[in-house]
Amino acid sequence: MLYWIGLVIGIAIAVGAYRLNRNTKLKWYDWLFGLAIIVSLAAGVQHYNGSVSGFENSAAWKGLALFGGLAAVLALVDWQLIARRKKA
Amino acid sequence: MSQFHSTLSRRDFMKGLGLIGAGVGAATAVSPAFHDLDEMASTPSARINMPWWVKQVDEPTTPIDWNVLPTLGTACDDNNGVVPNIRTRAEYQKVMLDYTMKQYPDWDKGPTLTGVPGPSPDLNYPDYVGDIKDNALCVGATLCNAGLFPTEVIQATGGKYTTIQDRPQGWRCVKPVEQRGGTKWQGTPEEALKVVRAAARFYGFDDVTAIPVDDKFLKVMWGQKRMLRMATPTKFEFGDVDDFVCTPEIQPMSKIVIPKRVKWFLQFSSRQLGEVTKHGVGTCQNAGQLYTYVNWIRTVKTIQEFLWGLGYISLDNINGRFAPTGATGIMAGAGELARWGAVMTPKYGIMVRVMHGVLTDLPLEQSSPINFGGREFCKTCGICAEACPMDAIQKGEPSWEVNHKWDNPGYLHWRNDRSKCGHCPVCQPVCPFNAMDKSFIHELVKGTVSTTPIFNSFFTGMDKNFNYGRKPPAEWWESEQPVGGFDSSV
Repeated sequence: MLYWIGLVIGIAIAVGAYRLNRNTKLKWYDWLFGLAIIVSLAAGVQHYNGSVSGFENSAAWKGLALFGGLAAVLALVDWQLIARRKKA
Repeated sequence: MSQFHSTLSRRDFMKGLGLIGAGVGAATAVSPAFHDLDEMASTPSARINMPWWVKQVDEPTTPIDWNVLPTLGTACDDNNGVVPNIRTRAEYQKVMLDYTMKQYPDWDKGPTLTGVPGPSPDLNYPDYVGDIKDNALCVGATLCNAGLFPTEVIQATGGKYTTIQDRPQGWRCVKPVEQRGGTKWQGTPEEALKVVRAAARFYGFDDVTAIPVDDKFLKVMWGQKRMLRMATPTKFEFGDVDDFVCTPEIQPMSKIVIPKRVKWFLQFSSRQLGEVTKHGVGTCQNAGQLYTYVNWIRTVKTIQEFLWGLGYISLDNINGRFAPTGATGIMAGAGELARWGAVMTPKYGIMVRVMHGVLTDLPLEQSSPINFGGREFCKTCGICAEACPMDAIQKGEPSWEVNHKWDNPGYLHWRNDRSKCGHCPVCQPVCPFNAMDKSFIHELVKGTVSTTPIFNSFFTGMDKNFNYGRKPPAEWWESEQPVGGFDSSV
């Protein structure tokens, strides 16, 4: 069930992001940022779930914060890069 | 028209493909090549069921000077073969109670563990493991702990039998296979190890490997050793006999003659109940350790019955009856010798309760020692030594020097002072290699540690920052633990 919920949410986010950014010119490094963000987020979620199932709740939250934080920072940086390119 | 897809030129795309292709090619070149699935399944790493990052090597990662080790040497028999503790029972109890109360000021020490095999028998200075629930969990692990029969049963045998360990050659509950209308199992040594591994895993053991009884084995095997609580040491000899000849037939044995056809040592290890152990608090080890003692001794004897059922004989190495289990564990490739003084396995870290094994006449495929960077990690880690309340685990670099009569020479290791060890619940749960929840990070870390030691101190710091290791005792009762105490899928 969670798989299908995740799939639907993922498709919705992808469609939304595409519609919002269809007029945005992306550089090669934007794709790299995007990939790194997705990998970080996936790592954070997997680490959280894996750690909780192994009763490592403290490690679960810290790992989620670490990988999620990394994804957030990367997203912020890339967002600013795109926004400043648009202004220029 | 949208420019969304036009930022990556065809030229750049082809360049990227080229880079990926080169990467895949390089990876293929250094990876092992298999022609078919049978070949892959029959590789040594597949047979011993080890993770991909475990390397098989020719010699154990602990350097051993074989020249200084005598063949069939004599174990130290001072103090009846028991390592004396430098602290009185009162001093030891005070250190542990202070240590525990400092960590958990509201800790309820609960009833004593008086009468439970293993913990302190001193009525004035007994052991405590926590409130009534934690105490009861240990009491539940009392039945047949260490294979000990209940007192009434011992008395009913007139004291002839005391534990399931009493027959080192196994109990042989059924007649020989030839008398049951069969013939002994036949197969190649490779098939034999596979069959025994399958059975051992069914009964509850892992890391099932084997080594021959060769010159090196005889250098770590004792020619004379006193078992715990035995009145006399036991001599071990190889002779022209058909079966093990134990004199007298029941413990305490002064001599065991081993048939010369017994040429293999079968090695296995048992996981210890990790979550209980991590939540253990008090003056002695806890239900995790105690209950593993109920299980592993029974399992060793069960495997002996299995071998008997196949038509082969065996002699158990329970409690290092004839060989130090650390030595056999690393020689047979179950793990590496870790700073805390026992074997660390790749899959379970040090959350294992002793390396086990039997001598047998069933020809078995020889296994190799392994290297997964464990010993190298211990060099920079030292979390267990920092945690030890008794200062029994050596900090710093390993040494060849022997500081005590009961210490064994001939290997480069951390020379821990077992006369200070009080078997408390602290060092075992804190090892970073115990981490085996389902997070991908552990595979990544262990794979890296196996390849290079340069990140070891970083990983040690991360282990501390992520709060792996010991946990408050009350938490365990709130969690829905897996059946049997551990998740067999990790």
